[in-house]
Amino acid sequence: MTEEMTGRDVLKHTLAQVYDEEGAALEREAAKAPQPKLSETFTERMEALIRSTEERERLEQLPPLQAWPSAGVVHPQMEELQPIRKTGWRRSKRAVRRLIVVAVLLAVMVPIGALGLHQSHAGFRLELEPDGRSYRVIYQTDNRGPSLKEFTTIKPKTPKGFHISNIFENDRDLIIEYIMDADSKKVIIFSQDYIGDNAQSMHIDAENDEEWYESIEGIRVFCSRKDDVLELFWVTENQSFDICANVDFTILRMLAEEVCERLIY
Amino acid sequence: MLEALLAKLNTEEDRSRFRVLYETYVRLMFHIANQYLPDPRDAEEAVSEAFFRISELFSEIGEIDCPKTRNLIVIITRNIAKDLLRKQKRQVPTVDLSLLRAEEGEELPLEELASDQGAGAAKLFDGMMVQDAMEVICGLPEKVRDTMYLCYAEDLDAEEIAALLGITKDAVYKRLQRGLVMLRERLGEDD
Repeated sequence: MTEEMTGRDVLKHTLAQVYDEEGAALEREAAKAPQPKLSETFTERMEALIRSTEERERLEQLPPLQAWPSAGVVHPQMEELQPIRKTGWRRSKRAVRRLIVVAVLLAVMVPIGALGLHQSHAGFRLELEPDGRSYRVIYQTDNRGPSLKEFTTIKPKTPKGFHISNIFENDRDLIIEYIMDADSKKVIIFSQDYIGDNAQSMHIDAENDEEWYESIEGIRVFCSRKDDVLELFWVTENQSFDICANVDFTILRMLAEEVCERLIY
Repeated sequence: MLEALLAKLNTEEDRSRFRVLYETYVRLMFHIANQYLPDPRDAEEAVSEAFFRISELFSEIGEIDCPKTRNLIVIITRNIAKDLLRKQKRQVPTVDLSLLRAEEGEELPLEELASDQGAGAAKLFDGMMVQDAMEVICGLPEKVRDTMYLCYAEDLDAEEIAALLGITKDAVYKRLQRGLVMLRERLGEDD
């Protein structure tokens, strides 16, 4: 290896040095500046963002189930999965996840009165955010759904030709990630969230190519498509459900039908 | 098996990365935002938007407390604060003559500028010393320099840069193109 730097090295090192010096100077100045006084709204918003990013990060970092020693035989595909995660696989999944946003970002809590929602029935409506790039999902509960203590998750059957690669569950959320056996870039992410007693707002991408509603087992389901990514979202009583995937719509509809059936019966 | 998996999910280490990032940089970010936006509410808006964008690409961030991450955060916050200021002043974007020259002149392969990891720009620096190169780089307009840094030093692709800076992919290519044109002018390359 020659010690002489190529033009690319010089460019890279120079840019890094310029920004390192500038960043260090700003950091020194910031340390001397008075501590910023943060508003309650800002702190709440940041807390929600931190929580949602932590959850997404955890999901991202999880190895596939087959990687766990207790899972017994190691799937041959597992060894190939890690390098794939770092490149195309992860990017493809990130595109899917970006659209789930429902499971990802619980934004500012909005009191029902402030929204002018006085009718008491389960449901949701979408409002376009001022930036025109995302929807705010406003839903309300009728307080007839299960309490948080009674909240039970619904784990749909794994679609044929898929396997569960990740699962996350706590007392108010369930996220299951399915990956197609034949193509690890084909991903389905199912999420179920407990939405509590208050109306809340969340963000859903509004830059979809197509949007429509379907009635599944009598439940109104919002469906959208952007490029090859489909998303189904619905609310019942005090739970919200989201299915986001880059696979055929019929598979997603079957998954939604099974969940809705189990909700009703 | 499920219990073991869930236990893994709930470790403190997994929980804390974004929080650490927030706590490490929130003060710096407010300091940067305040330089452009004296109203604390505007500064909060800029900083929260910056955190939102960072969260979108958080999986790409490795070490939290390191110059590379700090530089990324400085660039994002500064760009958002400047955009917000411009919106408040309702500034109409000025026509950039150097960019027009680039568009009128040689047809540069825009997408290759990002995809070839700066081969065109890098070639101009062959045989140069870092100290000499710094003078040239520092003379570039900030938004061009920021884009070049993200592309060539952080190795981000055009889509990622666009998401971080809140601009289109085309705008990323244009900025890189503009940077290349300016570098050629300053380094006196004829071709």
